[in-house]
Amino acid sequence: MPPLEVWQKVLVDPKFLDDVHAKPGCIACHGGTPNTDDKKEAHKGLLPKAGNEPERACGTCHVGIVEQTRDGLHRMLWGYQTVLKRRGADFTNPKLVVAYTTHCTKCHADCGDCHISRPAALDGGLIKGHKVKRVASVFITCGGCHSARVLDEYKGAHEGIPASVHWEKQGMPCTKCHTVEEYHAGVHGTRYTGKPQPSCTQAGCHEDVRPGDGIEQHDETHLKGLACQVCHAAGAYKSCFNCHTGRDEKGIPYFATDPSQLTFKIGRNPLKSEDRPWDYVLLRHAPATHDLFGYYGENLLPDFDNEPTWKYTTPHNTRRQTPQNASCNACHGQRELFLTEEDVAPAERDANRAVIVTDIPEPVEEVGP
Amino acid sequence: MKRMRWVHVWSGVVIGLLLVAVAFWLLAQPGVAGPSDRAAKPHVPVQVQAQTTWGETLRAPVPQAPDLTPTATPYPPSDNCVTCHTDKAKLKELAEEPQKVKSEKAAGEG
Repeated sequence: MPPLEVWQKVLVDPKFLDDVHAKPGCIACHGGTPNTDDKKEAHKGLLPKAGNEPERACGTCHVGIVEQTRDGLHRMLWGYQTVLKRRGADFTNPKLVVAYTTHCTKCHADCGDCHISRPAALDGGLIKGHKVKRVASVFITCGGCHSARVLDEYKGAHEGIPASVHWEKQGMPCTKCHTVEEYHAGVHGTRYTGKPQPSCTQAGCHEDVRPGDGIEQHDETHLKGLACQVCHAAGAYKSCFNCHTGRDEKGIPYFATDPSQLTFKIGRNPLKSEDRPWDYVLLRHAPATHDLFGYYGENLLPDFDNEPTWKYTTPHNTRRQTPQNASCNACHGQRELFLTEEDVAPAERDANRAVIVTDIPEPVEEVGP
Repeated sequence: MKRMRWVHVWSGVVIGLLLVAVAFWLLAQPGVAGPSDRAAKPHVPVQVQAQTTWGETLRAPVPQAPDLTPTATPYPPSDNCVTCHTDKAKLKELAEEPQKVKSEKAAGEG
């Protein structure tokens, strides 16, 4: 999605002025200087992103929501922090903090990043003349940050791989499955901490899926052994590799990754628990590397191998019928579908030992119709 | 004899009432409360206050009922912001392209 022109980013629709959110006036939320037509003077004390102070800008009315989001996943990026800590990141080390705040916190989202403006990943700017959108835009807001690894899969943007049936047939927006609590609150840990939310088998969805439900391959072994996506992801999804961060000669921060690849890999479940009991799940390569923050200091991720670089994932290209569930032997004996040692870079094998599949399921005798 | 006996009875009643009154008075004093009260009530140090003179009392402001009349919003006016930010032509005229901040070394997807 191309960025907006500079003037477009700040053009307010006069209709917004009738909205209750306009009643306090611009300066109440954004600061700045009243009673002057001089641009420089008027912008003295300006807080372009009022959401940076959510208590002041939004919390005077939306008390409960602001309270809830203070510790939310989108605001605090607990996922990044959790995984980096597992890799040994010491957030009391100034070098690590500089690296983290320079390169990782761009994804941080406050109220306005979802309800008023485009996310920073799209270079910001008002979505609709400052209209405060109660429900965020699927494409601009959710897709602005989660496009490469969620929305493109969901809409079938990768050539040759169909869209999710939830999108293609039902046109379901993100909010149909993901609850407001997921957006606003969240958990310490990653979004995969605790019970799957949303869950495919939750009430009102596929709650009748159980062994013996009449669907082929929905037997005890497959339902207990495999996460839903193993059979129902329609094809490959995006993996990223080899991210390096730093500053160039002019001091401009940058990151560089290798070109992304479409991968489909079944691996051992790194998060096996009562909540996620499956033996096999789909895995996606995260772009992390041992020297991800090497520019900022030596060995800032000393326990890098504690966390797999092939991580648990739930691709959004869901279909009932997929190439791997077309028959028993569309999966059994298909070595290329599984994450094996040769798929993993030698330097990352220790980190991924727990998710590498060593025994590919043997082909079985197909039962005729 | 009968009269003397009534004097004793009345004296006993009066003395009894006096004892009860003294007992109540003592219980009402801080620091003389029963053991259960001592356990329940936190110790509050006695505040030593300066003596207030009558003159000061008379000069003290009389408490007033709060003014519940709605007042104008305390927010500062934003007319200057609105005038400019709803005017496309003006914004185009005043727009300043930010300096390019993307490094030439940047590569790949974020």
